[in-house]
Amino acid sequence: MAAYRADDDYDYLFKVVLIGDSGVGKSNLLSRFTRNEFSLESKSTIGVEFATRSIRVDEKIIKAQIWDTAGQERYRAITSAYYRGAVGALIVYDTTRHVTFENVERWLKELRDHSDSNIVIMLVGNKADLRHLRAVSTEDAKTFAEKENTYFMETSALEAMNVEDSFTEVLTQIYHVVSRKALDIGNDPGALPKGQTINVGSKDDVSAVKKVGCCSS
Amino acid sequence: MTPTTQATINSGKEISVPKEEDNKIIQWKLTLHQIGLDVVRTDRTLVFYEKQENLSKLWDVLSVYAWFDKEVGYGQGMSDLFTPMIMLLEDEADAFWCFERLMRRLRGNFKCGGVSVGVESQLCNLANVIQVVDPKLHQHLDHLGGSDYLFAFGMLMVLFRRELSFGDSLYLWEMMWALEYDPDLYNLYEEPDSDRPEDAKAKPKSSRQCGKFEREILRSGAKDEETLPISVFLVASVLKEKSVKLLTEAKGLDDVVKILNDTSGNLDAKKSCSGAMKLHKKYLKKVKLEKAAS
Repeated sequence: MAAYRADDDYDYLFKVVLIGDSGVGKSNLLSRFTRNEFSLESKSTIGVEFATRSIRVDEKIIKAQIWDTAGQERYRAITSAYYRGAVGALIVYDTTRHVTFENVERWLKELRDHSDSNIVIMLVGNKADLRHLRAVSTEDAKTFAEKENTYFMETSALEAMNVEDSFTEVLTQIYHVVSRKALDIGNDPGALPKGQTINVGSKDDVSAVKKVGCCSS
Repeated sequence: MTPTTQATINSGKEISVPKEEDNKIIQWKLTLHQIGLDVVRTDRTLVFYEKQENLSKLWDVLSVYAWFDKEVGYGQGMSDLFTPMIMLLEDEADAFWCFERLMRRLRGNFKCGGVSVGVESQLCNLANVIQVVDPKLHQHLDHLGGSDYLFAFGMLMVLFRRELSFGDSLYLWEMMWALEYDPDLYNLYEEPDSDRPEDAKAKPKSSRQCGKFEREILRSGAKDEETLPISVFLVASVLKEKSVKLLTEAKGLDDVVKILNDTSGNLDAKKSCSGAMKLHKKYLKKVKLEKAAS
């Protein structure tokens, strides 16, 4: 029990969602980041899966609760639950399948429709190890990310390339947003944001948002 | 609402006005792409799928089913449900029809209505059951932001295939279906025009012909629309079994998932079924009492 508590000792809890087309490698990015594992035999994600990992930023311990979602169109119907309370998002495409890059625009729109405006977004081009099969150029993706004002990185879950960096970057940026907000509040108590997703100082950041039951009764 | 493929096709309709039939074909072809992505990542650890011809069978059946049942089409998880059929029945056509009968009971979960997926109503039922049989646990899950019970999504969709080994999941399925057995259900599987002897149809049902789970329902006098499948109670029994651990150790939804994964790896099918039966009894009783009170 005591050990569990120690393990659970964190300063911030951030909810991050992994979205993108089916088969781009979301689940393997997650397992690489949280367990340093990669599987060629990984199955499709049904509904949603979660995993966590804590990292240190500026002497603070940040616990990332990462939601891995199914890419299939129909499961997007339960979108609102995915995005509720998310402070960061990685939109993943497959660098070897151009159509998955084209669909990023739709994912982005959906994300912006459903989440807090302060959400930190990173565009992630996965499977960069398959150099001979590349179908999306780094330049194109970079230009798109700049236009859409998101961060961008190319990764390979298989080779563990940039996986650590991409998640860490997103979490660090979220931390900056949060600490900046804390500063703002400190200087001007009148500007206290109401109903914000990011709730500084609360250990329940993620679940601090109003809960909506699945049943109307 | 979200821009769906459907919408793209519909807006394209204004320009070219494709026939209804063309739309169906376009829809189906889009499904084929998804099936192709999933066929190569279904049960890769099974030796069975090392053979290309078996992968082809999986692809064939899922794509034919998607055409056969256009309302449902193909949903991720269906390939997991089909694997046991094609492994047990070598003949592709037999396996297809077996799968089709299974889907008659499960297709509701895969149906998608714009803002919801069918399984959500089962998740809602699960929430109701937990609320009745273990209110403290329900409250705790709700507090963690899990009132929608999305963490049980997969269990209900593929009936524990992801949580159990291949052999264990078959064992569980067989037990579930034996408990739920109802001779009338068998009639449902017959084609309406099949020539069954009339007297078989007219014979009043004896509860002794039914499985134990079905018998409880008959005894309680619950109406058809009020009855829940045993799978909901199975998930409930898994949750209930881990109730203490969930209440004391789960500080977030990820912990809930971790705790549940730890158990289901060595889930005992027999024990879970008897647990589900107990919860079902308790649930029916409480619902009856509540009804009488109101």
